Amino acid sequence: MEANNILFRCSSLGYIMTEARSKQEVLSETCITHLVDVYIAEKYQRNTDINNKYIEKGLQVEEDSITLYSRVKKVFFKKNEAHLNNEFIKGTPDLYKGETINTATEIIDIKSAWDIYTFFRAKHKSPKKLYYWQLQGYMALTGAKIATLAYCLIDTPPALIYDEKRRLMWKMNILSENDPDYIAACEEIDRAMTYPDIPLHERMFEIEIIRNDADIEAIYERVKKCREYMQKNLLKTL
Amino acid sequence: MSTELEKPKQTLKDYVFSEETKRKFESLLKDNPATFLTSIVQIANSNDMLKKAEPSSIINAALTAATLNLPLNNNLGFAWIVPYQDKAQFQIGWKGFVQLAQRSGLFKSIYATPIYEGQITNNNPLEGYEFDFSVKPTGAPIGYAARFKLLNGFQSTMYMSTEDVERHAKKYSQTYKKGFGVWKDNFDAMAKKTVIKLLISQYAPLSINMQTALLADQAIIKQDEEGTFQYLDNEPEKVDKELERFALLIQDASTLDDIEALKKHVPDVLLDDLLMKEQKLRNGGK
Repeated sequence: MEANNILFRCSSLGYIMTEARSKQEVLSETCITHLVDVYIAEKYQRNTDINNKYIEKGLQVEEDSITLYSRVKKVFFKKNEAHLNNEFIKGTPDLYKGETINTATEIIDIKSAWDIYTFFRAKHKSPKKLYYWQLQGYMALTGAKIATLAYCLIDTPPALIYDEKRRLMWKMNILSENDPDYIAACEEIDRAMTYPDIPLHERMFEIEIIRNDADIEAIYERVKKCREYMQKNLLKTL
Repeated sequence: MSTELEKPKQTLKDYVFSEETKRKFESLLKDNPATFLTSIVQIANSNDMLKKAEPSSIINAALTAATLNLPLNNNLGFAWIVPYQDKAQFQIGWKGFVQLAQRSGLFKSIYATPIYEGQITNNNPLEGYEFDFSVKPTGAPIGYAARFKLLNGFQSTMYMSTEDVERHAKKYSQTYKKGFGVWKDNFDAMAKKTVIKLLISQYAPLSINMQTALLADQAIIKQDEEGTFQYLDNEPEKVDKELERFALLIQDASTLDDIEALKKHVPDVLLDDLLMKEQKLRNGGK
């Protein structure tokens, strides 16, 4: 295994791009932790199993989010399946504008919010740094000048709502589903997690990120540093 | 006082060695049905969860294996009986599909293999994927490919990236989502099976046995309605989301410009709907 062959996923560039606490350190602790994970994944084919309810919803409603985005934009979008890479990074953008993914003029990344609260909080905050770097990565891979984060609010699938209700039952320490307090709390869960009454255009917002060639160059430089670190500290010693 | 005694619950042994079961297996298996029946009991006894599974579901899974003439030996990897909830599920391995393809007499070759970084040389889905296997495997597989060639010259290849396979597993296997089960334990074999199964189901000529195999795989085979299958661990997405998306866009269209924008990508099945909507808009919405 050669560190120079390792390609970093766009979705995890945010980890390696975090700044070290002191100027003496080249890579941050977050970055090094991530490099260890990458090393384990490459060498032993084991991935940190990040499987939580937020990711679960994202996976389950991905196509529905694309449908919502398409309906609000009045344009048919199809999920991109092409995996891209260059000599440093790899990734699979969700959607694009343009004739082909390789000549895309704009990249669109769909983010499915967990609930109405996370959706609106995201609307009134700057986008996470992780997403900024992810989209710079996609722009680097495609040549696109603009990338858009499209946040979508989609009804939570019934199985996940059921899980929430089960957790609630446990928390409330009740034995029967007929408990009036529990029934009232379940109705609240249903309201908090499904949105048929909210107009489509209020359930999607976009944040535009402009291509920054200096930042893309910084990604490549950081990848080189990460590879050096992995070669020296992980491949030779672990 | 009741004079009727409660009927004792039938054990797996009762089921396996009943006259009816013996007769069924004798009609299916020419060679040594008694050994096959004994192996069913051994398989069930080797797994605590299977021991507790409904005996009839174990027998029906075994009958399907016998119908397809696939041995139920874990070491061979052709087919398995696996527990799921309180029932037994019939599962075919990728080797089982290869075996059935060979037996149909229509296939010249059929393979499934992991693909590693640098091995894909052409990824044009219309012309078929091309691979360079002289590139040495490094790291984890980036995907899985299956290819068959028929004796009449027709050939087809399917490639799925590892991410696509994982997505497939998460979509169709409840146990994988929860972090256990056959996908978690044998990802490589399940990935090979997935590409080969999808390739066969989409592009290969399907013999009766192959059709049975495709339907029975991962199903609980019902006893009372012979030939019907119940899928507990996989809930295939029934709606074609892209088609649904397009239909909604046609429904939402409120101007002729909206219609024009949709014309470029309209799928054949929705062309009439699009033209009808266009006509309606031209007539002022009537």
